[in-house]
Amino acid sequence: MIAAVLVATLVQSRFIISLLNYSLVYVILALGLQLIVGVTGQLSLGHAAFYGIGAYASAIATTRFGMPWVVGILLAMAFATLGSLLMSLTVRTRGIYFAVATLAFGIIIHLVFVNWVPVTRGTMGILGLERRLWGQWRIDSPQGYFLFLAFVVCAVYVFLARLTDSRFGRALKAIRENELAAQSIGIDVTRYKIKSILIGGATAGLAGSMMAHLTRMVTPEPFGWWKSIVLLIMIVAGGLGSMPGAAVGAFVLTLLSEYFRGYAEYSMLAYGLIIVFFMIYLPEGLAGLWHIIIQKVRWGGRRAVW
Amino acid sequence: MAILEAAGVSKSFGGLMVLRGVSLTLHEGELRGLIGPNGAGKTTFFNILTGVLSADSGRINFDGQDIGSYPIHQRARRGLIRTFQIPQPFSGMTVLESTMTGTHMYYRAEVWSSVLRTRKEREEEEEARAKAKEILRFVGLADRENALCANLPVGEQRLLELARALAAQPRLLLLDEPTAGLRASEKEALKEVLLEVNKKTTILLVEHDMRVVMSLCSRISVLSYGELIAEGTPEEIQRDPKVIQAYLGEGAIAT
Ligand SMILES: Nc1ncnc2c1ncn2[C@@H]1O[C@H](COP(=O)(O)OP(=O)(O)OP(=O)(O)O)[C@@H](O)[C@H]1O
Ligand SMILES: [Mg+2]
Repeated sequence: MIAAVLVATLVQSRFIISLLNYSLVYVILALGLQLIVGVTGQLSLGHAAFYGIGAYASAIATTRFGMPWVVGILLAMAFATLGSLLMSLTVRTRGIYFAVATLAFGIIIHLVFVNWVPVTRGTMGILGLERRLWGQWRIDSPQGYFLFLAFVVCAVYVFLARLTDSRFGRALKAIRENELAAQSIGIDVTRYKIKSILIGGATAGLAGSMMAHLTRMVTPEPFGWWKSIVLLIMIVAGGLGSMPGAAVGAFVLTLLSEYFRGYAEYSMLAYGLIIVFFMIYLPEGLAGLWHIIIQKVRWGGRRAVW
Repeated sequence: MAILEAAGVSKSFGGLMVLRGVSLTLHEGELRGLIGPNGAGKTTFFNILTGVLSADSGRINFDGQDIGSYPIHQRARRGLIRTFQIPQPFSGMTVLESTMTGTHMYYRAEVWSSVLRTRKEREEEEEARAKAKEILRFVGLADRENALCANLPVGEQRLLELARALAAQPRLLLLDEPTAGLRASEKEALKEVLLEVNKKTTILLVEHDMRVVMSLCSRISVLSYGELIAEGTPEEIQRDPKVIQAYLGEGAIAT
C-alpha cells in the first residue's frame, strides 16, 4: 500500500499509470480464480462471466439509475454472486464435466451480453460511465484511481490469503487433494465447493466494476470465454494454489500484454508459449521459482557457515 | 451397548455377489478383528458402512440411528471414521496441516471469522495445532510435521492416515489393513498405539497379519466369499474348521 502511494506520487506518465490500473484489475480476477481453481481444485472455465456480470451490473446501476459507484460495486458483487450460485449447480459434476459445464456457462453469459440489447445495448456497449463514488465525491485522476484500486487489491489479497490459511482454507485444499478423504473426516464437500465458487465469483464481480469504471464503458468483447482461459494461464504461470503467485502472475502478464499491445494478434500465441514453458520448466509457476530461489539462498548461507 | 449393528448387508457388482447378508454387531469399547481371504469383501463392507457405496439391501445402525441413507461426511460427523487400505493422503499438504484438517468438524470458524482473525478463531487454530501435534507425537510422526505428505515412505503414510483419523476423534474407528507394508518393529509400535487408542475408542480392524490380529483382538469375525462364516475369540477362530477351510488356499493360519 505504501509502495502504491509512492508510485502514485512519483509516476506522472498517464500511460504507465493506466497500464498499472489494468494490471491491478487482473490481479483481483486472478486472486478470485485462484481460490476456485488453485485452492479448491475446481477447474472453472467460466470466470470471465462473473467479471462481465459485475461490469454490466455496475454500469447499468450507475448510468441508467444514477446510483453512486459504491452501490454499483455492491450490486456488481451481488449479481456476480447470484450468477455463481447458478453456476454452482454444476458442482456435483466432477473433473472434465465441471470444466465443460463452466465453459458452457461462460459462453451462454457472453451471448446474453451480446444479444440482450435492451439491457446491455449489445455490441454498442454502455458508454460514459462516471466515477462518482458517493455524493459529490469522485475519483477522476488516473493516480487517484490507481490508489483506490491498490487499496481494493490489498483488501482482496488479505481477505483471500487469510481465508486460504485457515480452517476454511484447509477444507478447500482437502477437497482439492482428495475428495473421498475429505468427506471421510466430516467435510461437507459440496457446501465448501459452492462457497469457494461464490467467493471467487464475488471478487470477479468486483473486478468487473473496477474495469468498467476504469475504461468508462462496457462492451461484451472483454468477457468472452477466452478471457477465462487467459486468467487461467495467469494463475498457472504464477503457481497454482499460491495467492502471491496469482497476484504476480496476473500483474506481470497483463503488463507485458498491454505493453506489447501493438502485437495483439500474437498475444494468444505468446500465452500459449508461456503456458508450455511453465508446464515444462516451472510446473509450480513463479511461486515455485520463488521457493527454488529461497532454497538456493538458504543453501548458500549454510555453505558459508560450513 | 451396541455401537454398530449391521443387519443383512448385501452387495453385488454386476453379477458378482460380494457381500451376502452380512450381520455384525459391535459393542462399545471392543477391538474387533475382521479377517478373511483376499477378495472376501472386507473393504467393500467398510465402504458400505461409511457410505462410499450403498448396500443393495440390509440395515446399518450406528449409535442407535439408522445411518444407511446418510452421505459419507454425515456418518463421519457422528463418529464413524475410517482409514483406507490404499492410503488417501492430502499429498500437497504438510503432515501437520493434514492432521489439523482431521480436526475440521470440531471447530466452527467459517469465512468471516477466518478473514478477521477473531479471537475465537485464533484460539481454535491454536487448539487444533496443539491437538494435531499431540496426535503426531502419539503415532510417532512428530519429527515429520513439516514434511510434505506426498514425500512420506509407505510405513509413514499408514501412520499419517491413522493420525488424520484420530484427529477426527472417532467413536468407531475402522482400520483397513493398517500394518500392510510395515516392518516388524513398526508393527509392534503400531500395536501399542492401537491398544492405547482402544482405551477410548471402539475399533474394527481388518488385518491380514494373523499375529497382529490374534494378539490385539478379543473377538474376531471371519468373512469368506461375502459371508460371515465364524465369530469368536482368537482361540475359537484358530480351531474353527470352516475358517481353516476358507484359508486353506492361502496356507493355514500362523500363530
Ligand atoms: N467397485 C467394484 N467393482 C467391481 N468389483 C469390485 C469392486 N470393488 C470390489 N470388487 C470386487 O469385490 C470383491 C471383494 O473386494 P474387497 O476389496 O471388498 O475384498 P477385500 O476382502 O477387501 O480383499 P483384500 O483382502 O484383498 O483387500 C473382489 O472380488 C473385488 O474384485
Ligand atoms: Mg481390502
